[in-house]
Amino acid sequence: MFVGLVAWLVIKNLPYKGLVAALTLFVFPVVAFFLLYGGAFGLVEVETHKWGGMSLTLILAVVGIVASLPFGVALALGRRSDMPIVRSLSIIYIEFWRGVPLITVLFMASVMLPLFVPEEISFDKLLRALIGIVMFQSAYMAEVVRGGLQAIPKGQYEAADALGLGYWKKMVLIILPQALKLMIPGIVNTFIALFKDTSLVLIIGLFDLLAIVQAALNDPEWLGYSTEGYIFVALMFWVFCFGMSRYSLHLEKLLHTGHGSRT
Amino acid sequence: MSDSNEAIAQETMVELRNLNKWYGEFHVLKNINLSVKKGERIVICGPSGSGKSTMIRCINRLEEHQQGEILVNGTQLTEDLKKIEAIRRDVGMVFQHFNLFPHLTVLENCALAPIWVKKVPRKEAEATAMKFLERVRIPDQALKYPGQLSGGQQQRVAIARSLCMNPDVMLFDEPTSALDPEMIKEVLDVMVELAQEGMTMLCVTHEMGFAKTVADRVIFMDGGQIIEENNPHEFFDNPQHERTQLFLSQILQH
Repeated sequence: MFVGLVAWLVIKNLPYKGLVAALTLFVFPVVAFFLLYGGAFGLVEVETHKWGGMSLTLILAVVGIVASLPFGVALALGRRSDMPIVRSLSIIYIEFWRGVPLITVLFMASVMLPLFVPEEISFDKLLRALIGIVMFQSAYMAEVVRGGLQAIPKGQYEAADALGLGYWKKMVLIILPQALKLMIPGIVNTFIALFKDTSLVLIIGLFDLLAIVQAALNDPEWLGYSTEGYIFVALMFWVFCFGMSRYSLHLEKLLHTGHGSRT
Repeated sequence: MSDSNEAIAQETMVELRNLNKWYGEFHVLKNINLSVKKGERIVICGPSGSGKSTMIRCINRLEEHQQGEILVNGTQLTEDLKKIEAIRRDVGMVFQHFNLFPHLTVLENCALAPIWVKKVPRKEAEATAMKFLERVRIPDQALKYPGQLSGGQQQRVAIARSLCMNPDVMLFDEPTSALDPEMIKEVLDVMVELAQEGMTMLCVTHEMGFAKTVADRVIFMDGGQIIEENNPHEFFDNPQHERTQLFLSQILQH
């Protein structure tokens, strides 16, 4: 279902893009959650810490990517803001999260955090890992976005100002569309790194694709197939990463309006 | 020209009083006093670094001034963002490097500000945009992107984009300086037409032919000051100031 929805969005000239995008963003996660978690419709209840394999890898990566982009944009705008408080808060946030390894973040989220909050409030382990990843990733995203913002010529800001567009309209209508286009390689780079970093959740006891294969290799029936197992994992990661990289190239071409015709 | 406009030329459109501006230690604008009446066409010239661009950029606050007063249409320009945006709605600006939005088509470039700033319905805004694109004689390029047009065409789009906001004053910051010689005329023709329709204009330009044809007043600036101010006839044939004479002899000798 997910593959189908995304494919619909990716392929040009199909109708109802807005509707499909809304389905992908809002309806699909709910349906997927119920299918995975079970408990309803006669499915066996599976708690989140028992989720694993490819689906876990995809959940971590997709949620991390989708959520970190808007946070990253907000942080980048904050860092370039004229307001001193907003700016310093953004800088502190970005520098803090960039200075900490992801493993530490995951450890903190899963081991340390429960020690500090009262016992009645216990967050789900997967949710904690997700929040950690999003916070970590948005700091990186912010710097990519900031790079893109700085590449936009001053004249674009001035033209928007001269037409009477306020700050938000100027950013949303003029600056960000151009900046995001410039940032595609950097953003995809960050996404690919995040996708592969999801295997780190192993250390807090979540089993992603790599971990689940490792676990399977301990099964006596699988003995002697370790090479095949690892090659398969490597291949899966490569296919996804290569896919992202090709799609980014395609996007860059599609959005290029500098010269030549677009259609 | 000026005689025919005497009747409407009473209302003051732009007024600068004792305007001073510094870039750090550098004093760019020194005690500028200038009053522009409705319908008046002013041409500002002077050597580079004389502060002429800075002066007109102060009028819509692309540059901040430190001392003095700027009044546009009776509204005083202050820190107040609301007032700045109100003034920017009434003041159109054309830049040396066009500054069209490269990710939008020509039509979208023109319709954007009316839609988002003035809340005009899209259909209506696009119809207005087409009207102005016809006036600058490029309606056939409406669906292209700026990157596909020549410099002269881009500058005409930029003029149309400003006109779509229905401004009371137009500021031109060296509109032909970045153009190839054969494209200068097409842009100047549009500007002359605009002037003849009674638009209040402040042009920073070195096109002396344009100044002679349409200007009511020519202002010469040097070192951040207004050195000389006169009607074009007197200004070119009988410059008073030594610095003006030198400048004119340098630009008019070929």
